[in-house]
This record gives sequence, C-alpha cells and structure tokens, in this order.
Amino acid sequence: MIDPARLLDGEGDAFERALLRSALDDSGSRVARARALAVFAGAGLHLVASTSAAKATVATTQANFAASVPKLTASALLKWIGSGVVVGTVSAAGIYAVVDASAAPPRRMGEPVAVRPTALSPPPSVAGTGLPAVVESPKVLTSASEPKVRHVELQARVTGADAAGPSNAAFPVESSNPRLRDELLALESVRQALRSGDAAAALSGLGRYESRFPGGALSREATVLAVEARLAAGDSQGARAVAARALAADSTSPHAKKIEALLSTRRNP
Amino acid sequence: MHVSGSAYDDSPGESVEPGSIETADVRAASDPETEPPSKEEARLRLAHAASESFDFIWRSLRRLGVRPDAAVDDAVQRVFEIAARKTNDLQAGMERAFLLKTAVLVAAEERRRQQQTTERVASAEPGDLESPGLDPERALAARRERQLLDELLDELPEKLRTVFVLFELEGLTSAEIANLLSVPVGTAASRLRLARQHFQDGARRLRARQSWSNP
Repeated sequence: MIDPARLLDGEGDAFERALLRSALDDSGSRVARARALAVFAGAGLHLVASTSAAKATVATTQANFAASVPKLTASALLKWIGSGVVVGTVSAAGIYAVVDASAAPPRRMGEPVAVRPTALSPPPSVAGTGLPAVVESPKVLTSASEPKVRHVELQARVTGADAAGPSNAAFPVESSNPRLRDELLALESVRQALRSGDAAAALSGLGRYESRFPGGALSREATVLAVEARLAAGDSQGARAVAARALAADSTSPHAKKIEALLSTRRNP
Repeated sequence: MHVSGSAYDDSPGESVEPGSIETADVRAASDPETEPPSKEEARLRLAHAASESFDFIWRSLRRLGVRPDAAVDDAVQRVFEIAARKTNDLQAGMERAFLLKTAVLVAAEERRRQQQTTERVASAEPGDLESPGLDPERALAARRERQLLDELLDELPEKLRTVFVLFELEGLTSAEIANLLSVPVGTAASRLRLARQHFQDGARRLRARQSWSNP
C-alpha cells in the first residue's frame, strides 16, 4: 500500500504546513527523561538514565556530588532535592538508581522479581517539586555496609566512566545478572550512536556486542539495530543481507516486522 | 480483568476496570507460540525500549493532547510505571507498541481528567509554547500556530488523532502505524484518510475565521 505524501512535505497548503511545523520541536527535558527512566531502576537501566542525565551535568556535579553522597542522611537528601536545583534533581535520579540496584538482593533468572516500591510503583515525590524523592533509600545510603563500594560505583557513574561502555565495575558484584545488564548497556551505546548520527560507531558497537555476547538474550534487538545502523551508514545491501538472515530464521516475530518496516521506510523515504 | 499470576497483581493504587489502561495492556501480550522470556530479560527489554522510546512517547503524549509540559512529564512516567508493572505480560519485540498503546490510553485519561476538572484551557501555558531563538513577532506567530494546531487536533476523534499524529508528525508509514497499534494496514490508512479530511476541513475553517477577523 502506498502512503499519501505528508501534508508537511508539500501535500498541504502553507497554512496547514505552518500549523504542523509548530509541533516539530516538541521534546521532553533531560530531567523528565531521567525521572521517567528511574522507574526501571534495578533493571539495569539506571546506568542509562544516569548516563544521559549525569553526563550533561558532570562538570558541575562531580566534585561535591561524589563527595557528599556517602554522607547523606534522609533529611539532608530531602532538603537537597527539595531545593529544586536542577542539577541536584538529575543527580538524584542517579543516586536513586544506584542505591536501588546495589541494594537488590541476589536473584536467579526466572525467580519472581521482588516488587520494590521505589522501582515499580510511582516514586514518592518531594512536595512542591513533583520530583521523585529518594525517601526509601536513606537506610541504604547511610548503612555502613559496603559504603566504599557504593562510593566507587557512584564516582564511576558521575564521572561518566560507565558512559564509555559496559563495565562490570559499575555494577555490584552481587548483581542478579550482570551479563544481561552489560548486554543492555552495549546496545544502549549503539542506540545512542545511532541517535547522534554516528553510524560507524553504532556498527563498531554492534561488532563488539556480537563478539562479547554471541547468541545473547538481546540478540534480536541487536539485529534490528544492525539493520538500522547499516541503513544509516548507506549500506542498504548489507542491511538487506542481515535482514534476510533474520527473516529466514523468524519471519513472524515483532522484531521481523520492525526489520521489514525499516527496509520499507528506506525503500519509500 | 487482570493478568493472573502477574508479579504485580497486588500493586496498589491502580483501579482495574473493563476498558481501562490495565485491561488494554494485556491485549498486547501473549503469543502462545513464543516462549516467555525470563522476568529479568523482559524487564531489560522493556528498559531498553523505554530508553529508546522516551522522546517518541513524550512527543506522542503532547500531541495527543496532554499539556502543559509538566503534565506530559508526569504522563510519561505513568506510562513507564504501568509498563514496568506489566513486564511479565509483554511479548518480546512489542515493547514500543505497548508503550505507545499505553500512552494513547494515558493521554485519553488525562484529557478526560482535565475536562472534568476544567483545568483544560484553549491555550497552553505560555512557557510551553515559548520559541527560544525566534524574534518576538515570530515567536508570537509560532505560539499562535501551535494553539491552532492543538485546537484542530483536539477536534479529531481519538483514533483518528493518533494515526494523524503518527503519520504527519512522527513520519511513520501506515504499515508501521498498523504494526504499532495492532490494526490492519487498511484500517490505519482509512483512519488517516478521514483524519486528514477532518484536519483540512478544520484548517479551512480556521483560515476563514482568521480572514474574517483580519480582513
């Protein structure tokens, strides 16, 4: 089925195009992103959230943030967040996530996931700010258990050390499944490269992913990204080859549909 | 209806009613042919999709009528929270579609809430429509255009609006939209045709109104 031309692409008149253009700049803030993704803290995404948020603010937060976190108390933390300083807010999402992940007890694959209110239900918000509070975490933050490890993890996070690529050092040793989290991180870096228009970096990241995680749990996602990255690099033949292999193995999954949609979009730009 | 055996069955604060967001969530789920992923794997997939789709979901909510921007931020968080609770029910690869469907429902709920509480106003908060970098006159015109667009979109029935937004503003194809919304391609195309007709009729009306008030 052939789609009609978009109104924005000339099908509409000048008035209609002007109206539609007015919505093209819609975008959520980094704070909103960090806050929304904090919901998945404990699923490994804490690194993603803190990376995108903390990277932006690292210059201003690095020194005092890393130094102050181990000493934070509940009231101090609430005051700090309640101050409404954006930098503090973004960083709070990082702390929240770090603590959540590091405090999680070991869990085997397939074992029921313990529902932690901070991770899976709406985070309590600080009055007047609408921002997620780290209310449940003080016990952990002030706990004497492994403060050094946590401090190191946090420093790595705030300095963006995790942004360069997956690193087990960023995860607590007792993490329930560091391999899966590393996989997620590896793909996240590919995705970010694609978003920033760096197809070469995306392809290189995919190469690293494939060598590190052959037959990985997220390999289907990686295949979709591989098609996308090749298309972005202008290698439509390579993209089609990857797609053909993936579709031959499985032509009915949602991933297959995504791949078909990617190829179809490229055929009909 | 709720998903039996879900780890999140006992999650507080979510009313579960027929036709509610929670009910709709389940429809995107099971495929008997597919081996269910482990919970942790499913959460990771969802987390990956959420990170990837944050901007898309934010824009969709805004364009589906949630405003001001602060309300959109809250709505995205709600979408992700619902998704996180439903991790076990998600079919691998359907995470983005699930997030979008949830966003559509959250947007509808938010619009209803705003209408009931009469918070909804024809014009969004000024701050939401600021256009940094534009000269004041152009910024004013841009703000006005956005208000008119919102007005036109608000007049579209929800299903038509969703398809219109995804096609005209997100640049998705009918096939992609059909896939995301789990409807036949013909249905997506037909909704798009109707939506464009509505939109263009409305634009003509607005233009006539403007010419009448500014002869």
